[in-house]
Amino acid sequence: MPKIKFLHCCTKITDPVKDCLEEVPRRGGMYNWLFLFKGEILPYQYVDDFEKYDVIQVNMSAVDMNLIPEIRRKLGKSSSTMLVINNDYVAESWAGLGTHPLYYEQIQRLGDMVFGTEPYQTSCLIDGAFCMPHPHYVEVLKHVSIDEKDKESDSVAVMFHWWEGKTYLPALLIQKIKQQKRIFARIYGYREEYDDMKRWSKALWDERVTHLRYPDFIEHLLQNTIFIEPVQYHTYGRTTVDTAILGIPTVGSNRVFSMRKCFPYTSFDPVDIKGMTRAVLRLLEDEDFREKVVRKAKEQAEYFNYKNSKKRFLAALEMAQKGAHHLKNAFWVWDEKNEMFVSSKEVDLNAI
Amino acid sequence: MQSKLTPEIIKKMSKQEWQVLYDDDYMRYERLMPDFQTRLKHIPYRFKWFARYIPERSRVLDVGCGDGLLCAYLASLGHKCLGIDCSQKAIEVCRENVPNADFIQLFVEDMDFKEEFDAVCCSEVIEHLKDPKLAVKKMWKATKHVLLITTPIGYALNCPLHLNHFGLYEIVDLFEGLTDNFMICRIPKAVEGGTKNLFAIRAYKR
Repeated sequence: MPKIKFLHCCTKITDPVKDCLEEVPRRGGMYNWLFLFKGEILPYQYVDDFEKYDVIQVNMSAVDMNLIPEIRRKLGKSSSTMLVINNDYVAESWAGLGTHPLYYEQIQRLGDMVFGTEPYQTSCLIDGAFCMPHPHYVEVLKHVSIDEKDKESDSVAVMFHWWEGKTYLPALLIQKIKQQKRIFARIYGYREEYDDMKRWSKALWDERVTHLRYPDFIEHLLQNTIFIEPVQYHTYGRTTVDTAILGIPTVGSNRVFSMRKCFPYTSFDPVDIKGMTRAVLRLLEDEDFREKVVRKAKEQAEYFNYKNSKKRFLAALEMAQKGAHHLKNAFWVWDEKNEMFVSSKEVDLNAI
Repeated sequence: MQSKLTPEIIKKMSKQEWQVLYDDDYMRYERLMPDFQTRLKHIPYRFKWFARYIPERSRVLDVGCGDGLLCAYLASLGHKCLGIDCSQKAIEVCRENVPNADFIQLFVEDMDFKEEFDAVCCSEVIEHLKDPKLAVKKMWKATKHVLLITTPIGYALNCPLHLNHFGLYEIVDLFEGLTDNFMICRIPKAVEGGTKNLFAIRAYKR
């Protein structure tokens, strides 16, 4: 495989980003491209020569997306350096960025390659964008475990997404399960100020875990018997990749790409409370089913490993170099069997 | 003398010098510790962790057996143990302290066992070695079923004789090309519930 000089260009390397870059094991996500290609991360003002890189990646965050026209201007139109634009914001949150939809598209058109991490989110990007989840360091994370004596029986954990703020459905689900089985219910990443159920949260959860550094979070997560992710937004789902790699059986939303991918037997519409309740109870009581779910999850989690991610990224780059924007009302999705990108018109997005 | 030692100096030592170094270190340890019978009454948590993953009535190799406490504990649980250590003095004391196990003086890099043991244990040794990857390879070759290793996390429990300081990625590297079937967790060294300052690694052959 060719060696690529890779730069992730940003406005500023903030303290949380520094933490993210230094943590061991590192969390899955955008910065893993940097490690995968042994690249650099630099604020815009510190880049002396944009042309010396093969790939410059920019995240379409509210702040960094403003660098894209500047970098394009410096590179010109005929540069061999590829400007890669990533957008992994859940499409339902774009309004929060306050950007006019047409400007959002115009920005993307300045890139040589645009990618999103989840099929339905990529569907909101420009034609010819690539659907490509960020890498996870599966190669290391799959070896992380905790001491057997620290494992809990019948503890069920949920992730709080502050940008969603909806805990009514997970709380309802937990109550349904509690009516039938004694469990310990825990919520991670809890921030009361964003919780639409904050009046009740003390009573609803046995433990509300606020901020944990990722390495500590992973160890904490491993204590749980089951993880539940009934998120209502469309996202690729970092935590469900984590639970798949770590072998924690998970019940959750089929709007989450990694749920559909890694936990096909336990993915439901996020408001299908009865279906999810049945699945959680079955996982708690049926050891064979639990093993089947975990085995499949570990196998499927390899989709997100460095080796496979690199293969996808290089294939996307090659296609983008040749011109991948000719698709009309479609984007590129990865065909695992044939190891190539195909038009989203040709596949069932729920089945990939 | 030991306060002047640096990893660079130790790495250049011959086998004879290495043995003298560890004979001295072992005798210093013996002087500091309570007598062996008292030690046997206070089995540290890491040894209980080893015992948990060894199948019943196993033939066990303890690499870097030191004072023989792990062998004594495992023998009391019904396992048949062989302890090896680079220190001849340690081996002599082990033979007195633990009559129901076998001990030989042997450098880990000179080991040539081929699947002769159901389990191979190695408690806080690889951080002392010049070539820990070779040691893991030799231990992996020696086991039929499981390889169990503990080692300090990074600079926890630092001592002048530690030549290696392992992080998670370095532990994963040790097994590169050997097996993918291993798990790493953190456990306390001495007492259950204490600071988790050791990596504990379980690698399974079958």
